Amino acid sequence: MSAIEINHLNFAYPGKADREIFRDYDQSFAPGLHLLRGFSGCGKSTLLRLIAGYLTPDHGTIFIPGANSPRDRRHQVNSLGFVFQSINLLEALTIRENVQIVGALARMPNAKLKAQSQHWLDVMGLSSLANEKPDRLSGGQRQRAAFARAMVKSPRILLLDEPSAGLDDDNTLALINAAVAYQQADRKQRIVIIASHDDRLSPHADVIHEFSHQKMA
Amino acid sequence: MTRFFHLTAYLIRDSLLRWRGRPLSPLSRLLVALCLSTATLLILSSFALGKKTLEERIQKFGLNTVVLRTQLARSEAPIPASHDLSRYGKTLKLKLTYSSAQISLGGKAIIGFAHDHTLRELTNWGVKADRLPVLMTKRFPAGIIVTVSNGPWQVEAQTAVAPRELKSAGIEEMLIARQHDFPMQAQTAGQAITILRVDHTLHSIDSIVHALEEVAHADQPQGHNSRKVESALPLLHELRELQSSWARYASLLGIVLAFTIAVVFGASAILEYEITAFTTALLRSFGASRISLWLQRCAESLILVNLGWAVALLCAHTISQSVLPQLTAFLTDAHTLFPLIAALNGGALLAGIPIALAMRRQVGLILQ
Repeated sequence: MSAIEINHLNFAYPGKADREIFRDYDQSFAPGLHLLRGFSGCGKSTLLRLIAGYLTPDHGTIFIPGANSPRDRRHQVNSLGFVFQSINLLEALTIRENVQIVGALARMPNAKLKAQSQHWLDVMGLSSLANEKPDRLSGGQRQRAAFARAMVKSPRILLLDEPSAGLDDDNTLALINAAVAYQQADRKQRIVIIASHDDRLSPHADVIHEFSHQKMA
Repeated sequence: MTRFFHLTAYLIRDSLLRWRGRPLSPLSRLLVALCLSTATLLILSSFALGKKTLEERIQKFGLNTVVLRTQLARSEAPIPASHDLSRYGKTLKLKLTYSSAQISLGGKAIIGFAHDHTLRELTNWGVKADRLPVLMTKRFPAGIIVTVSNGPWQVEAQTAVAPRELKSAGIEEMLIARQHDFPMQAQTAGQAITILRVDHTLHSIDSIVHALEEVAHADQPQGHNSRKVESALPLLHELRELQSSWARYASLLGIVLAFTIAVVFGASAILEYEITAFTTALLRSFGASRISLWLQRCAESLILVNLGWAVALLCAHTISQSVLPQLTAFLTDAHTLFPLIAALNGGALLAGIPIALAMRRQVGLILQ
């Protein structure tokens, strides 16, 4: 099985049991580029965190291809890329170091790490800014840096949470093109899930999942 | 290795960046460690000083010296048979009057009586004299002849250096003469004094002192204080009590120190952690282990607490060298200071517990 399978998922945030985000939710994400669309607060980001294993379901199962569970540490470190809604660059490091630290933690060989990080900095148009600290970059550049960081370890599953929020068309296009190209490499076996309410991304998606409150809980 | 290098390098830079951004956070913790260390050193220094003073007094008296005194109605009376302590070690038996004689070169000396055979005892104690009377003095060179007088009586005495044990009996300057040299003083009250240097390879000084005290007690059923045993034992008991109090206070201070450091550092560290929880969660999502991130926070606390201790110790050392050199031994004694260092470091590690608990929070609840 090469798809992410979600079965009978129940989830509410701790202390908010009366406000269930998911109740008996089923979904399948086959290899391809998926777009989760829906209004703010409907649970798109929460679903990405559940798939990433950063949150634990109250009930139900999430099957991740090649992993025992979403919380499988090896899977999280080596096979999962996540770009967060807010731009989460480490301020103490340069852009290159921000990209490299993820690969280093995934135990990538040094030579491969350097080559990969340079490749993704080139793809994202950040080579000239590689030695700058994040506070010297614009919002779009920071988002592209976060994307390069998620890509450096060539994850099998890439989760993007509102990647185009606050980005202009050029930056958005650069980002989505990179995501599409990435998904289509490696015999199209990679799964890319984007949570966004940005219509500019819809034409690039293989599958669009419309999220509505009624559907989930 | 690359993973370890990258993560360690990042964590060091992260700590430095945070400390540079909010210098009051490390400074306040450093100050707390410094003040607590200083206060602890100050309290324990008083014990160290007391111990040093007692040790000096014991050394001055002589650890294996026993002095037996018996009041005599007349100084010419024979020394009681109970003063024969030669079975325990080397002895020196004298009779002391309560009179003093005038030294021709200036100053006075207590008059004591001895028999001619006492000269042999004196020689055994290292006194260089070939005849009586002998003037034990430190004010004049040994081996000269001086005139010493009391009323109409006067003698030519040879000067000699008094053995240390004589000082244990409280005698600094003393003329040892024969009774007929000062017949008037021989009629007056005095005391028989026996100084015993115990052969501690054969006898326990405790048992000797206790045996002598029992005899002395039995001899004075009416409560007359006619016989007295002096030794370093009371000082040794005092020293033991002081060391026991020291150990108790050191343990108590260690606990207080560890607890205070744990509370203050823990509160400060958790506040700082909450501010940076987002970054920590991000690193965890990249694969950094909770242990390594927890160790970073612990290392920060350990560095600050040990730096505070080192500064306090350095200050104490500098002050002791110029004002109280007796404290130098205490301040350089790793064996004594180790429990305090352990308490400080233990407190710093305990301060990491709230952070360890906070780190159990799911990454997804922090990263939004």
